[in-house]
Amino acid sequence: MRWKRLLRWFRRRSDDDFADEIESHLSMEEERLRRSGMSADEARFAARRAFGNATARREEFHERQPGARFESFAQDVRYGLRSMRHTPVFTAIAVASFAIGIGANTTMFGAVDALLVRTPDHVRDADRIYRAYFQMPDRDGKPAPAWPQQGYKTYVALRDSVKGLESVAAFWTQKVSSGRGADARSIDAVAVTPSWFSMLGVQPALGRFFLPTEERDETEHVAVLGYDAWRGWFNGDSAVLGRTIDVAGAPYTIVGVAPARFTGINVNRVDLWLPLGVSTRLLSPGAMDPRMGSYWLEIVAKGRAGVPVGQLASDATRVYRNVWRDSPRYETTFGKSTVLLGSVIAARGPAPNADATVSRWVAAVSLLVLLIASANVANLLLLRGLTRSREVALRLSLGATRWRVARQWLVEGALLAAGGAVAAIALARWTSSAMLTFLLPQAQHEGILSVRLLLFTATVALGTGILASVIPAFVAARRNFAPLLGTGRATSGPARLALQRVLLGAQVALAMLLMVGAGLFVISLRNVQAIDLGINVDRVLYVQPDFGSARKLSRDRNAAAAVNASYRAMLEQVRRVPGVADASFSAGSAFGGGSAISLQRRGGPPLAPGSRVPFLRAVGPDYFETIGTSLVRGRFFTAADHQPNARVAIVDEGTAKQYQLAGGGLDPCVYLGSRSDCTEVVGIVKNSVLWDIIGDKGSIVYLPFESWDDMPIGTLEIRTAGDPTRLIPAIRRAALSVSPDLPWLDIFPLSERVAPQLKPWRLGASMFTAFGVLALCLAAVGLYGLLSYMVTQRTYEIGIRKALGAPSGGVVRMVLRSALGMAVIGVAIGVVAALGAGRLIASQLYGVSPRDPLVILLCAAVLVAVAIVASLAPAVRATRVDPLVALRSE
Amino acid sequence: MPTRETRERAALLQGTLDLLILRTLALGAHHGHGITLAIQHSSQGALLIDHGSLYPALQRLEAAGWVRAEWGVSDNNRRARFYELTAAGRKQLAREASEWRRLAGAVALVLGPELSGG
Repeated sequence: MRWKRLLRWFRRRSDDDFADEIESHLSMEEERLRRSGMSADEARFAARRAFGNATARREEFHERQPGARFESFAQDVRYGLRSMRHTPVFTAIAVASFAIGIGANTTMFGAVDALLVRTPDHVRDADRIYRAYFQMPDRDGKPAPAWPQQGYKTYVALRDSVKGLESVAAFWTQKVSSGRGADARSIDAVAVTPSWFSMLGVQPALGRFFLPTEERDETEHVAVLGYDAWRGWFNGDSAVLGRTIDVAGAPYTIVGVAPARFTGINVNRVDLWLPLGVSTRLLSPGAMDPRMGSYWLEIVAKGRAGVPVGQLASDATRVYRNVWRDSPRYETTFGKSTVLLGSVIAARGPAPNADATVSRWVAAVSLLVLLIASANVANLLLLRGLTRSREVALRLSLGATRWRVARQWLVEGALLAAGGAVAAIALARWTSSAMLTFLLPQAQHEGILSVRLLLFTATVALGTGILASVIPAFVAARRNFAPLLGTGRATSGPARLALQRVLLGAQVALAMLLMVGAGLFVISLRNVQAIDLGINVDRVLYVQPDFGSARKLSRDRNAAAAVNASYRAMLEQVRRVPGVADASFSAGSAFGGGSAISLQRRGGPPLAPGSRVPFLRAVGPDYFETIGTSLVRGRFFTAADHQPNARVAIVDEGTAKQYQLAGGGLDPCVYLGSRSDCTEVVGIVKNSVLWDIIGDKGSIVYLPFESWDDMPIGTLEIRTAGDPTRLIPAIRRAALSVSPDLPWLDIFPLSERVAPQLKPWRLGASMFTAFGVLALCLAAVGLYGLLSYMVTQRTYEIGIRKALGAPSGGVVRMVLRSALGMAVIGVAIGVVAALGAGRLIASQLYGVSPRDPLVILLCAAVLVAVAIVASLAPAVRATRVDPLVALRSE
Repeated sequence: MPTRETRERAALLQGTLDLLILRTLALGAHHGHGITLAIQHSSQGALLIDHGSLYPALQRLEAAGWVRAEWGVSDNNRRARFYELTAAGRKQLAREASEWRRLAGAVALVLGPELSGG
């Protein structure tokens, strides 16, 4: 039917043709009447009377023509553009407001889209695919946070026993080494069950995926390359099939290439897909033993079409509990556990990571900024509506309908928003990609300016354009303008501007909310950064060579001794690198935890069950000097202590306090682990970080490495004189000179362990601050605009006051009073909102109450100060009103 | 107080104008003025047509494809736009006419014979 409409468009009659027809009708009727005996004048008159309102008919004809609607719309757009051009300052401010509001949202869109909205590429029937989470009761019997990792036997049980599931797959994400010596690299691998690919509905770009027989990886080692790895490492050569790639020291035959942008159901890049059986080499020989109960796999399940998720979850729960039927913890723990089936999009599930949580917060904040921007433009449009009231009155009296007038406002709002959207998209090229890189450094980002982003921006622009102009449109069309036509001035005194004050108060309140958020996050970030980690993060490098699985080595004393010899040789080479100030080694490390060891004071009470057990850290000479942990009491280890028969230990303050060690901590006799003889505590050091910076500290027992069993070393610590990152290449060369065919050698500054942990606070602080400042600017501009208008409108009144001898101070006070009135009410509402919203972000804060009075006071003070600054220019303008000019203009 | 004229000349029911135009054109092509007179004539002056309202109706019928129009010369040598029925228009006329008759018959049944003093 579309072409018919088009045809009508081409064949439509002109308005003149219709007018001709009417003319013809009138003359025929006129002639008929004249023939029946009327005079010429009478006949003409009667003909016209019989016809009725010919002009109205002509207009009706025009309106009904195909395309008439578009024509009047185009007229609105033309008119809108013209009036925008005539008021460049207004246009610039409105477009800039929209650009800020829309820009904030386009910036967040990429990250929110990738984390929360978009189903992963190549995944089909995503609504039937679920991630499995497991929730056990904690000690008090309340449900603990849900957790996705499970053992292989849970996967097998769910796969075989839940009827409503079409298929079940499992995956394990792991960095693995590939290649040897200087060519070695660390690659992002994901080990999966063969059902993985068929369940997600993905097709290989080349070759094939895994066969069901290859799940356990026993007969032949096979691998599937990620698309980018194929392009990067093999130049996209299709002859790659059948070639091998080294995975942690063993050759794997490449049997296929995954399609571009396929990352499974997570967003991070994947270099290599491996069969799940690789875990028996990389993790533990018993990883896929159905009797083992370790937690390392993530399980994904696809329901049959039409089976409700609730039923699947309860079936899965029943099966899961049954798996643990014989466990001694069945009654207390497993029998009360539940299986949750969450969205395939992890951030929507019951256990989102911190990045997803903070991203969601920042996205919500960017929506607030958009609201503020809309309120700002609405206010500007309202004010402009007042100055344009004569024009509206004229249009209404010339026969325009009120809807037509309202539509004009809506079109202008949409036009302004479109301008803002264009600016926002131009900005998004930088802001959006910077945000993505910050939030999802592991994900692949291509094409920031995607169709989705453009569609999103267009929708947001249209929505906010209409949102901002709907009230002004309503007001403009509703007002009775008849009195205005005469004088061009509202003679009944200045408009009360109630609506404008409300909008401005709302803007101030929202700005207050964002600024309080910014303050709280900045303080949290500062608090977190100020945490004493007990070590020198800035100048220390870790060297962690891959000598094979630590678990395997710990079982084989001879292998461990050989590896430790390599570590010591490596240490000697690294010490010689210029710029290295100190170097040591340890088993167990800061940010790496360690193994637990029991500690018993001689004559001390037995430990209460469930109390914290210290971690063992066996350290080489100069460990404390290298890592930067300072001594509180006693002494460090001496050369004489680094002997197999030495029975000395150093504990941190937390341990000394927890175990109430004698001698002010320097206890002459504690029993450690399985040792039956006394160990003397010779020194007490400051508490230092275990894994995460905000976690508990103060439970480490240090022993001279040589005095403990032969366990593999694990980490070389290196303190540098200058910037540690600059020494990495030299240290890598020195270390590799000892073991040229080492599979992988990880060298990184400790600050790299800290930065990711700071990310949620850094993101919160920077985004809340940026958006808070933008909101503040918008509120200031809005206030300025409103006050300027008020001063202009009250020129006459001010003129009279001045003519009657009122001092300038009174006028300034009048303007300031209006400004402060709005600011204070807005701030008050903002404070209430901030107190209410505080509970929501309390869990994201650190070391500061969400109701911190100092932050709230400071933000209130800043807002009031900004309100005063924004009102200065209008106030000064008010003092410059010349009474003569003002009165004459009336 | 209604005048005698308006009481005896029934105002057109909504939508019946289209039917009347189609019926008039079934007898042959006509211009707008002619259609007006023809309807008034054949209803023996009982139907009142607002001349102006005829043209939007004609525009509607033309858009629907039931009539087509062409400029021509009238009997008394005037330029006029002549309308004629299309094949689709003929079908539409048949449909609307039978519907109208059914409706009129149904109303007549309900009303029954004229009551005395009614």
